Amino acid sequence: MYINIILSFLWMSASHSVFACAACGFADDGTQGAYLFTAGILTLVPLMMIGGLVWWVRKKFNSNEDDYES
Amino acid sequence: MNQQAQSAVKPSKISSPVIGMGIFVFTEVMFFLALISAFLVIKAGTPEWSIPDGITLPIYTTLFNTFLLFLSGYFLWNAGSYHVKKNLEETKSQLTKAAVFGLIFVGIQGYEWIQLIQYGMTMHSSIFGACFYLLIGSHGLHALMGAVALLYFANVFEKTQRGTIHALMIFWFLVVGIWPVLFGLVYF
Repeated sequence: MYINIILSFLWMSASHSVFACAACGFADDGTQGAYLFTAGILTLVPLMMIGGLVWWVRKKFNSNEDDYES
Repeated sequence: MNQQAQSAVKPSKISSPVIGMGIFVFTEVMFFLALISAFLVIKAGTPEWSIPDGITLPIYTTLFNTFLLFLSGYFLWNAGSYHVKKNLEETKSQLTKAAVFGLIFVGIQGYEWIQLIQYGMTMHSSIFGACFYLLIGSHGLHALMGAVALLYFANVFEKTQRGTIHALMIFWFLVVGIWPVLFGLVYF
């Protein structure tokens, strides 16, 4: 089992970028830069939204007053 | 359920309309982000990205339109404030004003689109046109739905359930908040 895990990691580390992809593997730096930028936004924004939601819910439930939404 | 049992059941701190609208707005944010991402990648990959010849985007009219949309958001914020003070008449009045300014925003956008189409900029004329109508059109559709909902709930507000105005605010502030991003990306 451990050999399989080690072999899987080695196989994953040896993989190359997908050169056929017009956005992430394309030689044009502008496209690749835009792709990486938007991938970053699409990753961070949901995490920020979830974090914000968790913060807001905690704040609401930790408030001492019994202030239900009217 | 009898009255004793009813009084023993406390309403939840977060109302159902707010929960539902929050989930919906989450998905809509991802939807707009996906469109913006596609726009940025396409723009970066197009060697000569420019507005089609003979077309001038109505930037100043759209700036004024943006102001109207912000005004609509301001009126909706006021509606929320009056709702907290339990002033029903003012809440409905502010909701109506927010709806009217939202509809004016959509109307001016529609007029701009008619002008652009008459000058030959359509979804099929160029990649810029396709991206323009997709992004701005998606936002316009959300703005139209939101404005109509505001107008509807301004009329039936007494019969709405707890949390409705907060749900409306969540959606409309998404529409108002995402517009400057789209405006900046597409028009400039």
